[in-house]
Amino acid sequence: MKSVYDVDLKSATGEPNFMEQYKGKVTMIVNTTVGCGNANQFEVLQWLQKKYQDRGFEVVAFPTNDYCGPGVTKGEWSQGLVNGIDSQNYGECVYGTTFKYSEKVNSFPDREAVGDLNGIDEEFGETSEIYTVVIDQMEKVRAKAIELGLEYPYKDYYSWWLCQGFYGGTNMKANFEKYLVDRDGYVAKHYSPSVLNLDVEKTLRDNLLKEQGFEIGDLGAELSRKEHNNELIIEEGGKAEIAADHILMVSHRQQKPPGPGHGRSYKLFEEEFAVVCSHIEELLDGRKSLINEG
Amino acid sequence: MLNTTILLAKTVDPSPFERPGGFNPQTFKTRKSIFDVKIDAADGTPDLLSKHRGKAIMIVNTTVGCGNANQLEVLEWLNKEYKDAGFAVIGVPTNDYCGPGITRGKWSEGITCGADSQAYGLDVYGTTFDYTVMTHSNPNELVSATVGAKPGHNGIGEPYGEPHELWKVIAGQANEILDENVRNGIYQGFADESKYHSWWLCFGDSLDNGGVQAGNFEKYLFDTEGYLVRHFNLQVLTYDHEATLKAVNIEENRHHTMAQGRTQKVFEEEYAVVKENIERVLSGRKSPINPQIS
Repeated sequence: MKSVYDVDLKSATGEPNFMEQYKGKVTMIVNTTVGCGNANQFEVLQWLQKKYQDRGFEVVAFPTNDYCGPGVTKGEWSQGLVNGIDSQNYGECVYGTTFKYSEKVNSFPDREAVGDLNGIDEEFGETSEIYTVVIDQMEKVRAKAIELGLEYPYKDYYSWWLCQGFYGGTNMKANFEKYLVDRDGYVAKHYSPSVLNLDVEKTLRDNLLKEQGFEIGDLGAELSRKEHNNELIIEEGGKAEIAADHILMVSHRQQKPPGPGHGRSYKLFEEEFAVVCSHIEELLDGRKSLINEG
Repeated sequence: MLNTTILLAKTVDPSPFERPGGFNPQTFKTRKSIFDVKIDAADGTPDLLSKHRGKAIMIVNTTVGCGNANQLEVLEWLNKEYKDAGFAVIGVPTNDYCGPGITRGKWSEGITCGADSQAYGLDVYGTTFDYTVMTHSNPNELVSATVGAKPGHNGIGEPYGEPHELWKVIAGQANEILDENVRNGIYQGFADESKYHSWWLCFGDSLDNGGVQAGNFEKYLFDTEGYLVRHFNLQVLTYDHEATLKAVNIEENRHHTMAQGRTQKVFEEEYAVVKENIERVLSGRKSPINPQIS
């Protein structure tokens, strides 16, 4: 079985043998674009990158146009991506990511969920080798998990998205499908696109706020929020700005706020973040994918 | 992918409709106690609420069936556990929301009177609490669209009627509470946002304190003088499929899961929070608009 790290691919900036550098590391493979409703995960992925990079962990982004994209984003980032570098620029400028991006790829979209056309209304291209390998491995992992009785049902989590298990992802439904890969290049776990979502995409949120007539910097004062509700500290430097969503709810008196998304709460996010961290740590400590016989 | 966050952020354009009688649930205010509202029981007993004067009351809008109908079972647990301590659930039937379309078998006919909802509750879920006569409620602007009806029309295609005085008083009390909170510097919408895993506890307790309803099973907890203490979103306490639908699904070997975002642990958290609130009311907690404290 081919290792993910043996796939031949260029970086977003055009350097060959992109995957070579990850041999021996634990990686999280994520499909990205410019914008997307899940794009705040760039920030969260960067937290993971920072937290574990010294121990041999890397987030690796794979830009694609296969899913929703530029339509969501506002301002200079509403153009979509032509090359992988566009996603990289967006991630770096809007969310300060420091992890690496590949050249633009085609993923393995679930046509039933995604439809006949990609995120910019074009025909889907042929799946790039990186995702042929990832999906093929994922199918084997899933089969093994079922054989071992590790599959459904999960009742241990508050997060519905975690309760779906870690062995789905055999076809892709959106940006930010996350595959956790062991040091030998074998997929170990999968997390669905919503897992780790914490907030609305940043440029969109800022834009909505402006439309509502709020100055971004004045939120705290506008809302006279209580100190203990004011911040969600994930770890040093990780502060979730969450006020914007509620302004919309106030002004429109809607029952369902835009926020971390329907059904999603900050405590669910914390649970997901902790679970993902524990899985990364297991792999860093030498645990292998179910399909890694080595 | 349909990203819920973004769809909602795009500010749903509510279809405006004239409420019968010109009633405006956003501006109407009252400090009338629900115990002073005249409403007959489903079985014809006059003036049901005054019969319960002095109890902690949970008012819930019901119908025959509905995707949230398994809450009848959960509400009965609460009713049983706390009735001797002075608590009562009261079902208030209405046709304003989705209803019979979901239910299978003999309960697929909808309701023509409060007794129909009561009979369904008794037959399918063994409810022993009281039900009122059929009412018109205060559906929010989005309901007609979500049940596929013209603006201002209910789940069976009839125009909304003038809301029953009970629903007017609930809206009026909710607005008074908002005012009172503003005066006291309490920003209702942020009170719980990072306290719970359940999105429906964090954000679903809408800012207007539920003065308008988005569906069946909006739950309102009143203190022992009949003043609103807390609103629980219509999804709170949902933990399973409607029983008759579930039976058919199982019979026909169809897979069914909990709705997105809802898990056993989220339900357990909600159940504990609802119980805690009932217990606090039973031990003397008052609404901010209860004349005894304001």
